[in-house]
Amino acid sequence: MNVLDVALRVRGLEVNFYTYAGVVKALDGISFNVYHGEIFGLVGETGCGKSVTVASILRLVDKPGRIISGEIYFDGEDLLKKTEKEMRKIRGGEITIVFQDPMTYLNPVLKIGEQLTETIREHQDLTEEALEIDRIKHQKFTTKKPSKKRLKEVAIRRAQKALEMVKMPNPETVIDQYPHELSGGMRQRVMLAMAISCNPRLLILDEATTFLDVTIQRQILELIKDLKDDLGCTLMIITHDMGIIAEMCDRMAVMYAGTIVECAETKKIFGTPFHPYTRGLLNAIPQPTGEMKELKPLPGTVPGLINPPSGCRFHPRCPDAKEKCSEVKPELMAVEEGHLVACHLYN
Amino acid sequence: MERKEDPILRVVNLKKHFPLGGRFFGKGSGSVKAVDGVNLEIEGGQTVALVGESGCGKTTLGRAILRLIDITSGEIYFRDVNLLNLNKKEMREMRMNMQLVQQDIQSALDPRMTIKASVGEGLVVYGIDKGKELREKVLSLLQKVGLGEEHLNRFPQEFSGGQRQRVCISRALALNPKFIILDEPTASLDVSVQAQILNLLRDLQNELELTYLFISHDLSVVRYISDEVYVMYLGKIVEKAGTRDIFKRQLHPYTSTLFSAIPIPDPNVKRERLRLKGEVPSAIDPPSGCSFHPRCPDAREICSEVEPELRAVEGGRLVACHLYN
Amino acid sequence: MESDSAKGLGGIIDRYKPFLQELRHILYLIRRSPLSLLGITLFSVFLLLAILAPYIMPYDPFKINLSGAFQRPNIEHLFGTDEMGRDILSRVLWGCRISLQVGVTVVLISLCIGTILGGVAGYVGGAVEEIIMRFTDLVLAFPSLVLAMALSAALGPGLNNAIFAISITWWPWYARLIRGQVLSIREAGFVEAARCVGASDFRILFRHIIPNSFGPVIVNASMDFGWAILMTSSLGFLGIGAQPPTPEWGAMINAGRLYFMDKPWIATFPGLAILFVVLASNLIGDGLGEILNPRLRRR
Repeated sequence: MNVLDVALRVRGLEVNFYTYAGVVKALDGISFNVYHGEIFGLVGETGCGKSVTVASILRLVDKPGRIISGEIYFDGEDLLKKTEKEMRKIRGGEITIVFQDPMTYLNPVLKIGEQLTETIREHQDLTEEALEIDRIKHQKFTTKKPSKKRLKEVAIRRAQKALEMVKMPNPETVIDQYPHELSGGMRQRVMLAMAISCNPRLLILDEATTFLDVTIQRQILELIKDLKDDLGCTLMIITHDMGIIAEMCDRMAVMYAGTIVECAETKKIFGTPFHPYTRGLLNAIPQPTGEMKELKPLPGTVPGLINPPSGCRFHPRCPDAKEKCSEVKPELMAVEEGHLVACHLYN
Repeated sequence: MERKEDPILRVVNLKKHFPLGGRFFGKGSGSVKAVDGVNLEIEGGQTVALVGESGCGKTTLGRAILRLIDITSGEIYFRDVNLLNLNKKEMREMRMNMQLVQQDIQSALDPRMTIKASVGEGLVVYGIDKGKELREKVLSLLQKVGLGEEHLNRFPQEFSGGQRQRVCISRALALNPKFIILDEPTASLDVSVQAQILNLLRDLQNELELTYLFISHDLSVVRYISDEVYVMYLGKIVEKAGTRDIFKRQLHPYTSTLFSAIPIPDPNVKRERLRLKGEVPSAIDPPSGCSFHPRCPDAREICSEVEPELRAVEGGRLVACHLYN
Repeated sequence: MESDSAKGLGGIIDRYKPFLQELRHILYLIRRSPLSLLGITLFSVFLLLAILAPYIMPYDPFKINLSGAFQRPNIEHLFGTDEMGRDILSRVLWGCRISLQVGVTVVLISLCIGTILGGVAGYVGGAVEEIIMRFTDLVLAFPSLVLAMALSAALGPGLNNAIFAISITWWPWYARLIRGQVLSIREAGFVEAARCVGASDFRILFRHIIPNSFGPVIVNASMDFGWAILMTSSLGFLGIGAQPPTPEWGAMINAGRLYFMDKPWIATFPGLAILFVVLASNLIGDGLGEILNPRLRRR
């Protein structure tokens, strides 16, 4: 893979949370690449650090959390070195995100149209189009700044276009509605519309379909695939659902307790999982088709991150743990071509 | 198929309509038909799954069966006793046989009561045990679900989701019930914890001869744990079949849509696009005839006029669809 | 092996471990909020003074000494003497006892009445709720001081009547608060679970719902403590509540009012005492509000 093909490059990202009970070592130096135009999946259970990773990319890690070290290169520039002003331009514009619960991310007292146009006006230059409307519709020839009214008109037009792109039924009506008047699936479409309205280069979906019904979820997933093809952007899907990863993602990374344990093409990971945690995870999923296997869950639970296990964080639960595993932290290394694993079994 | 013994639970034409309009002055216009004529039979020792999306009425049905909410019409027979004919005292006695494990793990345990108090509450209320015997009994219940003495005097906030669900399960076992309704018990749990809980439920069922009504929207879990599946849509049962049969082949168009929508954890499987239009209609004013017809890819003219009955087809299956009349 | 030690000290520590942890967290939060720290310190001082008053007051607060009246604050009488020659410092200290007792009593009584009425209203609903809440509205419609005055006047002068009157005007706030909490907690999973195991409505309401409703109430109650003292003092000032020679702060201010121009110390010191106690109570209430509000809690 050419270096120029890398859209997002995370290296050695370390994040801590300083709480009254102690220091939570949420991310222990994770590294991964996301390539242009692909759909990349980040999967893991509670406490593995997926949401913290996303927050770090968007530089939204708040007190008591702090990014200790690492680099996040987006199209060649280190996001961790940017000013807040520069980040604000990037958030919502070049990197956008759709979260899990649209009800809390949509302002209940603002109409949908207002919320959509807010993003659009923030990130896009509407003067050209506004001036054009003046010229064509109103025969006004001027090079001065267009009126607020005209700019608003353009913003609403683009908002409507965004709603059409997400296949919202009756977009003209929806623009004037309030969030509570829409169903869960429709609200999530609005969130998607907001996310794509400014032609992002990287679209992140953080458990975006978790709260949706199965059939609505499928509709949204199909829509997301179509959008990606139409927009030509890169997609990052964060989820705990292995089914979604299998269907949507080209490449994926498995996270456990703040570390990345395996990273490769989806087919390779499902076909030949190397890390014992990945194997355990796959053995614990009930299958909707094919052979009915006995579910073999991993013993124990995810460790707390205030005093995480020494060495490899998975070693207390690992059926193949050796002495080295409790002493030395395994590095992410290539076992096969394009298949990275962090495990002493393969060193 | 011959029935070996009578079913332990039989629901006949159950309806639950929530009236609209104010509490005091409402002569509300219409009602929410949450459950609209449901028939159900569960045999002892079985696990029957109730499957459907949000708004289909499965949660309401579960609560209605346990008489936690009043019903509009219909009958509920537990071991051939009509629950609706019981007075308050008799129903209270009957409650010991039927328990519930809830979906929302966060609020299922009183944050101000210790685990011991929560699990033992039933025993205290019915005056079965107290003092030392109570403690011993609660301890043995906790041990059945894989917890121990060190958990007795702790509070729910100290436990993980999986542990809390275990506590809820042991609470449900306290009164020696024969029948337990499980309402999405693993919905908010991690994959490996879910697997642990499912295996635990299965082991408990074998050990204690329990009967489960398993309400879920997760079809993969349903396939793993249940013997029979009832599919609900907008307050009605649209299909019923043995688990193996229904996963092999779905009859009702809604069922096949539902099944085709599950994400399959296998990247080598190619999926077809979903043939489903629109959103779930409101339960206040359901569509005429078959309530699924506006979204059904195979709808015909008769579907918008006549409501299909739930009829028996081959292999002990039931379907409510004009395609099979 | 385990069961024996569990019954001993280890068992006790085990049992209280969650409380201790919660306490540790609360102490941490308190440390980070200087205002509540101030409030707690101030209040503790007054509490100490109230408890130790009989032992540390230099003179008998009731002893009249007309020849030594109207003394300015001096070495022998740190706060001076009043119109009857009584030592003001001793009277203020004794008044501290009275005021703190009054505050606690009023809050407790109105809390009890309000909790029962609000709890029943929220849980039972329907006509019962309507009746109780409308009655609550009725009482709330009166300005509380005016209502307390009217009741006090009807019952006759005296501190105990004043306490009773204020409690009667205060309970509606708690009733409303508790009812609101009950309405939301009623839907919680553990309430449904309690019903499943055969718990009676009474048990559910008083064992499950109400203990969980106290969060916002505690904040209000701690602030109301100061208000209760203020109200009692107001009634005392108006001559309705405590009667002379009881050294209630409000009554003392009333007595000192006549001489305020040239002998200000008689009214000033009890006034300052009221100021600081109410301030302490408000600061604690604010602090508690911050601590108990999970969203404001900075972990």
